[in-house]
Parts: sequence; structure tokens; C-alpha cells
Amino acid sequence: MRRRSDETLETPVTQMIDIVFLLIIFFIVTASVDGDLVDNTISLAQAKNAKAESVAKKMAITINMRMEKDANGKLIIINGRPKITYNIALQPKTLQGIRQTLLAVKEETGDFVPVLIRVDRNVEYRYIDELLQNALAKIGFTKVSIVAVASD
Amino acid sequence: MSSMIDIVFLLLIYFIVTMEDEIPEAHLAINLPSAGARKQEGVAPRLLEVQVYKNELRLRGKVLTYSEIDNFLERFSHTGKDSTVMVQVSQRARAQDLVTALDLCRKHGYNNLNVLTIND
Repeated sequence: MRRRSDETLETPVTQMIDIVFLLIIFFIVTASVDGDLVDNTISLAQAKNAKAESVAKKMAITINMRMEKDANGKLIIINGRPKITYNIALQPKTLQGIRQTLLAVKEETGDFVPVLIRVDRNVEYRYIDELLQNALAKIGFTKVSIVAVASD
Repeated sequence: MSSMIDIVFLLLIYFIVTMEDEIPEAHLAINLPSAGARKQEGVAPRLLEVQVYKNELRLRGKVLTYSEIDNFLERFSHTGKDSTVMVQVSQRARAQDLVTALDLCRKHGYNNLNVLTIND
């Protein structure tokens, strides 16, 4: 009789830990989704002296800009200009699309939202200028940051 | 116990597989010219002009090496870091050239960096 009551009092620790670990895995997997939205295929310019940003700007809009290459690694040139593509959180955008996204942000929260531009180090400034002038400055986003690889 | 160790190993494998070397990123803030900007009243800002061309930096129109500009900015910074730096960028300059110039300015404490385009 006594033995039976002892058995019922045992806590199933192993199963509980199993479930706790499963929960941890679930939270880790879902939390890392944001990080996966960074376009890591862009080779950023090098800033020899700048320090790395210690806190990621959560509210920032990051515009990725890169020159497309073919299967052999050669730049794709169309009508004398390199094929440049843009994306925000890996969603492909045109200049017009970026402008519309920013206009929507401006209406919702204002033009103080930080805008980060991650651009391939070999892109000529004239193409960056197209983005800065046509999609940003014209609608009031005049404070932007160029992202570079930090020294440390 | 053995099932717990199983899960611990699974976690370890997960972390090893998903671990990536995160590239430290710096954000170089710039100001763009805006059509509707109003002139600020009061003391006129001290201006410093840096021109950025492809693989070339110029200071007030004079071609200088990286270290010469570095030295100049270092000396100029002693007279006050509230100066506005006008970074004029050639259309043919690369993003790396612009970042090099911005990085140099930031190194010496200039944070008010206005970027303009040279139509060449």
C-alpha cells in the first residue's frame, strides 16, 4: 500500500525537461527569423576606422542595393548600365516601390525613421544618387546612413 | 536521462549549424540636400569641402593622398568639430570611395556630413 502511494508522488522530470527544451527550440527558431532577412550576398564597403553599431536599429528601414552577376560571376550589363536590384527585407523592389514603401512609413510614423542603405562596394555613385534623390530626398527622407563593414 | 542528453545534443547541433560569423556593420550617417530646406539663421557654419572621385580624394579641389587628408582633418578638428563637411561625390566614384571619405571624417569627429553630387 505504501509503495503504491510513493509511485504516484514521482514527478516525471525527464518528460518535463523534454518539453522545456522543445519550447526553447521553438522560441529560438521563431526569434531568428528577423536575422534571416538580411541580404548577406552584398559585399559592403570597408570602413577602416568606424566602430560597429552595438545596438541594431530595430525600427530602421534597410534598403539593399546590389549589382547582379551572371552564373560566371560577370556583371550583367543592360543598355550600357549594370543591372542593379533593390530589396527591402529580401522583398524585391523597384525605385518606385521603395518610394511607395517609404511614403507609407512616412504617413504612419513620420520621416524620422532611420533609413540604412546597404550597397555593394563597387556600385558607382550615380546609381546610389538615383536612389537617394528619387526615392528618399524627394519625399523628405534626408537623413540616411550608408552601411559599411566596421573595423572590429 | 538519455532522452535529455539526446535533446541537449540536438540543441548543440542546431547551434553549430545555424552559427554564422556576423559581420560587424557600421552606419555612416549623411545628410541629403532637400528642396524645401530653410536657411538656418545665426552663425554661418564653418565649411570644409571634400571631393570624392574614383580612387581619389580631393580637399578644396586639390588632389591629396589618404594620409594627407587624414592629417589635415586631424589638424582642422582642433579648431572645432562643429564644422559642416560638404562631401561632393563624383558620379563615377564607387561606394567604397564614398565610404572611405565618410569614414575619415567620422574618425576625426565630424558628424555633420552633407553629401552632394558632382555632375561630371
